[in-house]
Amino acid sequence: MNHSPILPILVPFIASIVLLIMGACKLSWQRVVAAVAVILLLAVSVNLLLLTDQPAPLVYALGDWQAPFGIVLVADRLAALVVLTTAVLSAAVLLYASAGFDGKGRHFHAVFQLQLVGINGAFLTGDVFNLFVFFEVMLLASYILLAHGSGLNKSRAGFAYVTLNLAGSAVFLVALGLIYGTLGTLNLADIAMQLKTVSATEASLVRLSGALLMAVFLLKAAVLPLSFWLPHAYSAAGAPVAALFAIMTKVGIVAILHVQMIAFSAAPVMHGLLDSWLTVAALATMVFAAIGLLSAKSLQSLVAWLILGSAGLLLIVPSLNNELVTAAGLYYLVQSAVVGAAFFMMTDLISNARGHVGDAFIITGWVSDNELKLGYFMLAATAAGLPPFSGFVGKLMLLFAVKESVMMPAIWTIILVVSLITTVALAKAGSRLFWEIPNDVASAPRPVPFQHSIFQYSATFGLIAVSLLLVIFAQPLSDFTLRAAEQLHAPEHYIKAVIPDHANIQRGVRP
Amino acid sequence: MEAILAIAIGLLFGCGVYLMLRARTFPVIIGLTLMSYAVNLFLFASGRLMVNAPPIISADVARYTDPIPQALVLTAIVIGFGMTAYIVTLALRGLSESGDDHVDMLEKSTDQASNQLPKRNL
Amino acid sequence: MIESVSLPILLPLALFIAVSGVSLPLMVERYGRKAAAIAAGAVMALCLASLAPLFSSAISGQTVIAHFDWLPSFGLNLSFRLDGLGMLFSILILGIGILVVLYAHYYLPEDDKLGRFYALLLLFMSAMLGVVLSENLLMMVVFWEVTSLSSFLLIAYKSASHESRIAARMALVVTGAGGLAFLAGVLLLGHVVGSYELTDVIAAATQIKADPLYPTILTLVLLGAFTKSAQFPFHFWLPNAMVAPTPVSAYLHSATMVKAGVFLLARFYPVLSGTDAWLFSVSAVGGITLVYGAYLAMYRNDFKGLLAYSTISHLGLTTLLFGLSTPMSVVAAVFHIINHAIFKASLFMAAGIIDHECGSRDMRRVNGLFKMMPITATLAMLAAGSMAGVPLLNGFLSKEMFFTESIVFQGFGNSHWILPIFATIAGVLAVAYSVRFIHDVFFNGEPVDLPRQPHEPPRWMRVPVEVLVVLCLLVGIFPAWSVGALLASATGATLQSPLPVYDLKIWHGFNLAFLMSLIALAGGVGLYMMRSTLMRWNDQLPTISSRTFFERAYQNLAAYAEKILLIMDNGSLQRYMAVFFLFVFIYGAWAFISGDSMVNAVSLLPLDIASGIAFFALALGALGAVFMHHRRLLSIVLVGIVGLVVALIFVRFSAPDLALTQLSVEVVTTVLMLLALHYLPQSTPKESSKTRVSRDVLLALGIGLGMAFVSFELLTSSFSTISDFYLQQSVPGGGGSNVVNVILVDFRGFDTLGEITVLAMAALGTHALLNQLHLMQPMSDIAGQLWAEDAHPLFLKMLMRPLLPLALAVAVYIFLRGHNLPGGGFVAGLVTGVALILQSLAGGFAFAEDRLPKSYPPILGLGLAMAAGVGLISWFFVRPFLTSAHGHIEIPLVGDIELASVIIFDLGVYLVVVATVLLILTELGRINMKGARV
Repeated sequence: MNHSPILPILVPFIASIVLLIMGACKLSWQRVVAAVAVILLLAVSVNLLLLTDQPAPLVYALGDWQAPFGIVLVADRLAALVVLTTAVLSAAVLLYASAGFDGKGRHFHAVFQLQLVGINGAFLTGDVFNLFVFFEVMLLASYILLAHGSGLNKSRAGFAYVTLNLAGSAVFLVALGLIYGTLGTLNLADIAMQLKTVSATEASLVRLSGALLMAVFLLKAAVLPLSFWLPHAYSAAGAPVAALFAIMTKVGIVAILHVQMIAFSAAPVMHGLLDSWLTVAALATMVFAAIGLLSAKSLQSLVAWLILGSAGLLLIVPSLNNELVTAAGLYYLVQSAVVGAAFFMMTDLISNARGHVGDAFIITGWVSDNELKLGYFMLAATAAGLPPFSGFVGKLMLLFAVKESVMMPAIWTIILVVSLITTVALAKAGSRLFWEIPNDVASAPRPVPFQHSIFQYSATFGLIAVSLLLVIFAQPLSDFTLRAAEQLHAPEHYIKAVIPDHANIQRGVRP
Repeated sequence: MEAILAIAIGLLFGCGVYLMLRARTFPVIIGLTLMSYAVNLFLFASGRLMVNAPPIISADVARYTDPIPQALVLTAIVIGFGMTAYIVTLALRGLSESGDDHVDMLEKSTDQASNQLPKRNL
Repeated sequence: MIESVSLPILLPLALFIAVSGVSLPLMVERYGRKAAAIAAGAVMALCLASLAPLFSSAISGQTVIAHFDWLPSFGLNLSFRLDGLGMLFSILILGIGILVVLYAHYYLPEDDKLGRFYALLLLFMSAMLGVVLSENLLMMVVFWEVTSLSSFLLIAYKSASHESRIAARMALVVTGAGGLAFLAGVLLLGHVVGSYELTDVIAAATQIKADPLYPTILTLVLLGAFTKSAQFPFHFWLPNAMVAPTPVSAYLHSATMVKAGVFLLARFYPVLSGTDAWLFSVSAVGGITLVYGAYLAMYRNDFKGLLAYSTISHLGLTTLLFGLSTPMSVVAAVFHIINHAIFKASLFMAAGIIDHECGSRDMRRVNGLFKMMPITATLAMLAAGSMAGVPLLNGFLSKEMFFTESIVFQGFGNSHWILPIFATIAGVLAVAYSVRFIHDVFFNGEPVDLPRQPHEPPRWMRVPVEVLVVLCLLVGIFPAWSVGALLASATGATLQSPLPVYDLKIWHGFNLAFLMSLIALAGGVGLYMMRSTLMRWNDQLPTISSRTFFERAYQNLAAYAEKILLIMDNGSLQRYMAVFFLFVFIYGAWAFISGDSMVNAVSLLPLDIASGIAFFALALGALGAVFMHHRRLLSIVLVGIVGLVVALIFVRFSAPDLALTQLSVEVVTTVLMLLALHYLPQSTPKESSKTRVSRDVLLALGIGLGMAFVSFELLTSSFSTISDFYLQQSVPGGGGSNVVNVILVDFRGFDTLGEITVLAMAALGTHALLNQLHLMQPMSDIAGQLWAEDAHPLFLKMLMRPLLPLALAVAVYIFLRGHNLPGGGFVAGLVTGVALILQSLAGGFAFAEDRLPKSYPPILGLGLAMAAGVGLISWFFVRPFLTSAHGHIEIPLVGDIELASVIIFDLGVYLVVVATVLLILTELGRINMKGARV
């Protein structure tokens, strides 16, 4: 019995239980538990990645009930890749938060682990209702983490984020009701098979279910016009939380990819559901993010807009439905999550060094720390997609991959122009934060030099190092994403692994 | 019967949507509650309607309604309860911080100070 | 031509040395400035040394290629190439680089430790080297962009200065934008050719020129070249970049950065040239830049600015020559690249020395230096002579070639006379500004109040200038001997075809070209004589500083962006919600309508009176809640009614479990809402505008009607489902006859685990949110009624005490029977929770606090642990997580219980629910107490 697919869910889950039972134990003990859990999570994620690198995904039938009757976890290459990415991010975020952020409110560590449960569950599950449950776990954890610390900003952004997502959950349930009410199943592989034989009388309801499901994922993935919540929420969150959130928009994309590639793309009934318009919306999202970048008033909100921009870029992937594009997109997904997280942490480091001014673009000339300058420069170049950093490699792969598309001129133009705008905005921001000196230097009191924690430094620069490793090991990684894309675009393996004998599944007609 | 349930679902959805678009936290929460009723009924309806056929196995009954939607609705109700509890407290928190219950919490706009205090450190 | 050579590994090695050497100056900086300089120089020398063994093959016309796969699926490979052109540029980059390293050591102020400076210089050098040694075009783009990035940092080296920062950003934006265009061009090229290797691309030149994408490719590649080489109209960043320290200018603007653009022209010459598009666009841009740059150079009062515009002009000349695209014009272009690099680098360095010594670069103040620094002056005058095209100096030779070419060129048909005239005008202007530089700086009276007393610089600071000026003379007098081979191989590599016949010598006899040179010299001197008139005229022209313009453009852009953003996102949740619902409605409606229509073939259930009444109550409750939502207490009651009707609907349609759950959740939710309302304002102000209300009503109507329609469609269609499996397997496989419960705790137990996780988290979230929250007790009447001063009347206490054990007994009963009959851990938990809460309501929270657990999170943890733990036990039986086992047990009073392992699971659910309810409600109650204290 190979339990690997469930371990990325169980490890943080058990850790959260231990943390809850420990109750009001000293923070340092909680940190130890959380650290052990994250290290274990890294180990099991690496293990999962190695195990899943084969044509057929690993299937884990919970409760020993075979699909489509029981819930199954399906670890394909895509899931394993994003689980590992999450593990890497969580390790850095935990390290960063353990410098004191975790003590700013209650239950940080337990909820943090549950957040990982939700994210990993959403990546791994092969059942759409279970996906809903894990989405809720993930969302509630993110609500709590977003509110961690205090401040009106957090409450305001939090209320909007929660309300929108609750509306999204309602739509999700309607979609699930429609899926079950037409196809009579909830398992993704089974849905894929059932969709191929949808009768004409059900076509419109089935299409509606698909559209509603995608609408929910697109809300999480922050496509324009559903992206307004993201910049507010991500710029209000505490830096380590925002860093963890860098993976959250990716959950929406991964859900879209799984559902689209495995169940929808081969089904005639779902034709045109995404590809007819999503490219335009994705590009519009990028342009919107670029507009936001130019008008950002503080570094954290600027980084939040960057996250939105990368989300927009990634949404091109499901809209084009091309293997090479998917492979490129997966590389971009991993690198943008890592870089986004590092950037949020860097923002916090800079903000701390500037004292009460924080990360607002107010000229102080106070930051003289060379490490911060170097870190900012590297992250900014990466985020702008300039070589030789991972952002460029990802962008280049995407540009290369979309060249066969009819939308190529528009995609190229917007990617390149947005790159330029990002460069301009980040150069200006860097200039304001590090170089410019106010005219009345003497008038403002300089903050007491701030001693950064070694935890914060190592977390931030650790992630930057990871992003550099993504360049150095771009070849093995892109080979892996190519194989992952191949697997996604040939869903037969997935379906066969989950439901070996589809024809013999007993179904009854109702009512 | 199907028609009247469909109308009820539609009505609850409409009322829920309208209230969720209001400017104060309280009607939004009420709207969410109505919406979750609507959603639960809809999810329940996906198993179609059957009278006097509860899915409790017994030797002398041959006809059972579809149990799956019921299980799903149960999960949805519980999750919905958790979410309601959370958003209610969030609304209270917003009230205490902004001094008002507007959804955009704009009234007391000078919160910058608390946000920009030097962060604690080990 | 291409032949594999045994030493190609040296190519990547040289780059590896360069890249890994970048941090060396930073590391040795602590041993002093000299150490940093030596380290930087050593890295460059080592690069040169590792490339040197390959030069002989390059001279003999061979191409050395080293190839390593990197991302073959995406066209990006590590492949390197050294041919004559690459060799020429490597020598320029490294040779002048070493001189700049030496020069910078003396030029930069003593308090600069130089580590950072040399590191940046090496970074830039590596990128340049990468550009000229790339065989893979995407890799070339990588290095190309790195030159933009590193030059940004170099130009902003004095970051405290406003001008530096703007200039740096300007250079980054212009060259970065060009780089992006170049990237797009290369991607298209690769798309057409099917390979990104230069060799393949050159081989496919004919195919490329015939491709419909050719004009686009040409435009994009030229944009890259023109921005980098500061061609009109992208020239403006270059003069601004003069704020950089002079070593940077000497390096970037003579031999490297700006030369990357003309390098690109040379590299792509065999691929893209030979068409009218190339001829006209390249030569026109080059020609305009040539004259425009020279014209502006004349008016600069800052001699470094004069050199900058002169650089623009000379780059224009080179571009023009590439544009003419005859073999001879390419020879002249390549030759001029060499000559310009040499004399311009020396001029910049000399200018730096003068600036360094005088503290000023204004030619209206810096006069008559010949007496004070004769050696430097001589050197500078020689270099400037070369710039003007004075015989015996290298600049003369390539300019002469240009003049000759301009005469013999036939490509413009009837307008062929234009070119010589243009060339002569440019020559006149070049002489004029060169004369101005020489005369104003070294003669023309005495210095006008300079900050410092100028004298000769330190011995070693002058060495780089001396070396370069000697080169000017060497090339100028013995061209064939000194650069003949280099020029031939570089031109050969550029043309990728046999070289034309040409003769490198200083004297070609009295011909038309020489006459043009004479006219240029005489005209230039004459023009300089008339300078005061010209200057006065020029001063009248409106001037616009590109710096101000650029900064203003950015600010305008940001302001526009902000405006658009405000229009799109007004920060209001109401807008977001409306957009979300509208999106869902439109997307859903489109998807629905674009599918096939429905056929309803199911017989409907008959409507009965009871259901009609229930529906009426539901409608009343829901609509009432909408219309009365301003009266908040009332709307809670109305929503409660709706909840009850929903429970009745569940009962009616065979869902007893749902009904039970719905009812108990309804109770707890209502208590929760009432508690919350205690702190919230009691009524909602009427503040929505008419348009807002009608918009929302429309949206609500649309979604409501849509959902009613969809529900009806769904309810009246038939479908096939897997649910029979559960009905069959519930008893034998799950050990329970209540199928819904068995699904929850067994078939889909994982969902339930997630669900109680959500509950537990809701409790934790509430606990975290209400930490140190203070709310004032409201004063209003409604609250008064709810929470009277005597909040815990005696009779309630008396009533509740005996009720508690009863309620607990009910909970146990519900819990135990859950697996077989409606009930289960969840409902039991809610009943227990409500009972305990009522108890505490009766007794007061202080009363309850003494009796209830102090801390709930451990109980939540315990509940989750039980649920997950029982799932983990199955691992010992080599079964997946959450596999169940079951058997029978006899319990007095309750009867025969099918006891399954899932009962522990359900017990976990029970614990979580109880703890959640208690935690949330007592937390809300606690604010009350705190509020009272405040």
